[in-house]
Amino acid sequence: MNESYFKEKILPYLLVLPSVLVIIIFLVYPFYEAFKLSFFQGGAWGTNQIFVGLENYINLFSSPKYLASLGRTLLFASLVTFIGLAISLGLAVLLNQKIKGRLFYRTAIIWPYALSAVIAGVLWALLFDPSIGLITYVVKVLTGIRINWRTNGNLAFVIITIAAAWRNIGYNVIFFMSALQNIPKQVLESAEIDGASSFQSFFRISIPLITPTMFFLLIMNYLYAFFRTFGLVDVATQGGPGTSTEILTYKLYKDAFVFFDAGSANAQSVLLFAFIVGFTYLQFKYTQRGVFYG
Amino acid sequence: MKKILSIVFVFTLIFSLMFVFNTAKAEEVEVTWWHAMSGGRLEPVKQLVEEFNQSHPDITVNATFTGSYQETLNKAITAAQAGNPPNIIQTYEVGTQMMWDSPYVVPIEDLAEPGEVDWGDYLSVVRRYYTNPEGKLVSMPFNSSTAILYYNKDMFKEAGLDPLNPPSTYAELENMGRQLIDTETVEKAITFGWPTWVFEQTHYWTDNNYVNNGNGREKRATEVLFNQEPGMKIMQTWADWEENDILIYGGREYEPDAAFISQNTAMLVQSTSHLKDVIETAPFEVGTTFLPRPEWGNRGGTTIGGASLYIFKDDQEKMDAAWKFVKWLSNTDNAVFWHKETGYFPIRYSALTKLMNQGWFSEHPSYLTAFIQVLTAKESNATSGAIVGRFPQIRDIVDGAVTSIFGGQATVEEALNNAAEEANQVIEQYNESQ
Repeated sequence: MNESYFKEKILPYLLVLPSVLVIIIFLVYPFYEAFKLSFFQGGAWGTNQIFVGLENYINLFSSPKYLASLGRTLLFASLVTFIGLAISLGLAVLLNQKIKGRLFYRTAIIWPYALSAVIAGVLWALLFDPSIGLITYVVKVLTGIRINWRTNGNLAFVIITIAAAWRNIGYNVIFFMSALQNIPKQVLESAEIDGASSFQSFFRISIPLITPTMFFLLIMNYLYAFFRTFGLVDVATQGGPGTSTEILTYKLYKDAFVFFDAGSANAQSVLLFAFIVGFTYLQFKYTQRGVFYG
Repeated sequence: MKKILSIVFVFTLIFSLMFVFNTAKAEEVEVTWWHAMSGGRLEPVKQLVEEFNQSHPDITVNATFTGSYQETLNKAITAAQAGNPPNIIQTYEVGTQMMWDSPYVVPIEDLAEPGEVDWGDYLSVVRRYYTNPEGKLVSMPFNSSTAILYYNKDMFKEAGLDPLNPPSTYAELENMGRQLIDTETVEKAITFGWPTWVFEQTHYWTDNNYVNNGNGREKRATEVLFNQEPGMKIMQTWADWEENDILIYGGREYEPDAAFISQNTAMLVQSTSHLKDVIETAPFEVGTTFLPRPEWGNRGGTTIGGASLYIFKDDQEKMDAAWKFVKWLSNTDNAVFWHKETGYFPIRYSALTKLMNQGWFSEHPSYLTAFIQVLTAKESNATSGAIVGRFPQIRDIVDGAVTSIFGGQATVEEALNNAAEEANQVIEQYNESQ
């Protein structure tokens, strides 16, 4: 049966050919090149390329800076995801209630998502600017302490985390809101009739029913924190002070395009790919146990 | 039918015109120039290129803005590897070692006929910076600047200081800074733009090298020297200032300008390339003076920052045309024009004379500050400026050390020693790959 479904043997292949070509040219081939070059070291001008085997990888794993960057990125991604999701869920629940000006709030909450990472970066860097920042001023008035994130690495890290989580809230809220609205009213009503408190019905009914959305957002937020926060870091802190906000993507960029260390940068990109594949796999394997597809 | 005929006619006309233009263009040499001048500097670049193209009918220069110095360099590397480099690129001074090591770059002195250019007319400090250990000028200096002190004259008056007597030494800076703070004129006295560059400049100001092998001038540098006595002393002073509210760290590049302009500090050390911006945007009277120097050490001088123009290997015809353009760019009139438009130094003594005769410096005394500072520099390897591979990365490492000292995570000694160790590894790695 299946064999005769398509009479043409070649046509289906022809139809998918353009997409396959695009994938090969723009994804597979560059990845292959990066993979290959990660075993070489050479001058910035592409001359004197010497095969060094796994040396680039060994250097990375014995470099305290790289390991620190890896740990920092994991912490950053986890914080951005969990803070972002918790706040977004809270906001989504509030916005689903019949309150005055609901439409305005709904629109307002999505605005940060519409901002480019660059603008978000400038905004938060200026708010916390050591000499002219508004938040710096308020903190100074309230506590007498002058905060300076340009020398305080922990503070810089906190600012980047807040900015990254803040920027993605709009995206999360939209998904949470639609998920909450899709919960069948009857279920909630019958729970209410059975005497469930609003807390009980939220944690026992709403949350389990939106776990597929949560799972989806979990992965999307991790990917966002890993890959799409580059612009934010680049504009706000350039990885500094020191290396306190140097996440993996930023370190990779710097090694490749500022310091012209192509071998190491290629090894880093291969590792980044491996991390994210492994990470997503683990999430699918373990987190999905708790996901309830209604 | 009539319609079709007219369409055919129009197309024939277009094609024949294109043909005519093509043959006309074939005799011209096209030169591509990738530069990094944006904002207020773009217009003068365009004007210069236009003027050259009009006065040289046999050469057409196509100037393209290709992003920052670093982005321009990246694009040039990719293009050179693909076998299609531009003819001229403008890139930063910290890329000098890398450009000297490039198999694609041809030293401009090789393109000049002996005696064709009077190199003695070029500012010594500028010429020395771009001359390699073999004594060859590799690139044509284009935009050069140095670090000077900017100060708020109104605040000096308010604090009871003489606005015509700004600090010239570290001790004076500290005393005046203290007075500015004690009179509650301002909370922090000073901030540094490009702190790592100021750190380098202060080495040269006290006639000390920043890297070994004669500051990388005698042969390829293999080690940094900033964790020796001079570097330790400079950084310890800065650390004390930071602790006593005299100094505030405001960022790596131009970010600290905001603190000075918004009157949150009374003084700023910054490149002269921002002179025009600072004077125009500051709502107070800006004074400028030499970069203050520590009391100890010999008087050396400050070196230049900025960028220069490199010519890439190509057909002889193209290289000659590129050289013609680069040489023309640096002629006296153009050097005067470029200085007036951007505030970068004119790179020739004859341009300096011309500006002086025009009375330019009496109207713009601040422009003179930077000049005299570099013109009075002692001729030594120190004031020629350090040349070392992966300089941008070394700056990054030093910046990490500076912030960890100011943030209280490390002592001056620990931070500088660690930074030096890391920098030496980077240099070793670079040198091995050459």
